[in-house]
Amino acid sequence: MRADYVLSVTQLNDYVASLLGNDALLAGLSLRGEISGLKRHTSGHLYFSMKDENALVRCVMFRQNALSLQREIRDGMQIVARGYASLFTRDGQFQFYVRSVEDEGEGELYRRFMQLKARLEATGMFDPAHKREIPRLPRSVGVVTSATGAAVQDIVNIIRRRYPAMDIILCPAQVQGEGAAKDIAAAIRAIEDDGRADVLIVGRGGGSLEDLWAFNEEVVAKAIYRCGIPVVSAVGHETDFTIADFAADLRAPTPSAAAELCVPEYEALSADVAEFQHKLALYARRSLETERTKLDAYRAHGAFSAPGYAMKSLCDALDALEKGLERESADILVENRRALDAADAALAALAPQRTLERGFALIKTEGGTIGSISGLEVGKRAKIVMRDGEADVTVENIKAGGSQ
Amino acid sequence: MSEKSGAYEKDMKRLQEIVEQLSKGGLQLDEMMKLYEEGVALSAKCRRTLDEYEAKLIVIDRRNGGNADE
Repeated sequence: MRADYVLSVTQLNDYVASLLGNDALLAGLSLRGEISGLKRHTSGHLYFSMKDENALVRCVMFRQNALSLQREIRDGMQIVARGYASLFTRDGQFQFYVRSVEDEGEGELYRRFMQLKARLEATGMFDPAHKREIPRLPRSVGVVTSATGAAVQDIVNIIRRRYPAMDIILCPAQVQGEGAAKDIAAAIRAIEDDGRADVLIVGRGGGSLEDLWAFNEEVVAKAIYRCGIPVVSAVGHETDFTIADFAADLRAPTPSAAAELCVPEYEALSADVAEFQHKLALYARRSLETERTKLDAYRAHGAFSAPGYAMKSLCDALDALEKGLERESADILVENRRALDAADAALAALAPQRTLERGFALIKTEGGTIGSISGLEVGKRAKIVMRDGEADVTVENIKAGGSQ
Repeated sequence: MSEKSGAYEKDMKRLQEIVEQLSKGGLQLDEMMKLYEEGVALSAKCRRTLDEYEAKLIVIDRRNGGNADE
């Protein structure tokens, strides 16, 4: 290019942009550095700088790329960004256009995580069909976590608040560092062998991906999957997902939340039982009152003249039932049973009276009411009972068969 | 301890069924009393289950091979 050749600003910037654009390295590279001056534009584009000890480059990440970020980026974060470098011709600004971001140092772990997840998923370990239900009221709650972390305090506090007398079986485990995964797996088995807990919380408080890594190990996932009781995972914060979460029967966003999911509130359960007790008495009483109303109606109609005793015993039986309902004890149930039997008998005795009312008669001998002509004998006495009275008779002649 | 896991849930479910049946009415007296008795027994059992916990915190100490109650 000659020295006397006059360019417009636009031409200059376009020329530099095209030079940069033709460079194979700049067209696609990974850039390591620390994020600073991050700004989110309302358009959804991210503007920031990446820097190291000596230098800084302006960066932009467009909305459609920013949407695919696995986790939020923030100032101070060390990242490796994939993208291309070019000139923003309007401002003459050299900048790096970020397409995707890997957390520095976490890229490798993340790949391992995805690999293990895919492999275990293929074995069916995460299949929803394998997920067991968390009992509404556990006999006792097993807990596997660090003995010294905040998580165990949170879990115990929440359980004590919700169900003060709930029994807790704690098996402390080393949750990070060398050997942590094996220790967690062994603790899960220890809770299982102990046999008292029927739900198990496995987890720890928040930390870096490295801190949480033990929960991404196969040995922990398998121990959870094979555990004989339902397992609730509670690793880190809401946004942290681990392999253990996928293997567990239920994932809790935090250890505190796990305690809430496993242990009901005593007050609520107690109120449920009390309500049922109240309703039992209420509805039983209502049924008895309905019966009494029916009886009173019969009596008012004067339908039963002779068998006053039956009416009386039925009323007495009802009285006994009603009194019984007012007391809540085991003894009273026996009485209720007896009163009920009396009521049954009284009702049975009443049944024929409805027929008598329609003009039919009962025939009784010494052996009681008879239902067949064969109950009669020539020369013996019998009693005819009708709606409005009874008569003693002597049998003179018997013709069996037919309804003549 | 309740005899087995899930017994409480089962009992409460049955109790609810009984209460619903009773609330509908129309039962024979003896049926009604039978259900009522079953309901009273179940509610007493559920109540006992709720109250039989001991607020134990048991720590399984794998290294020393024993349990410690706190």
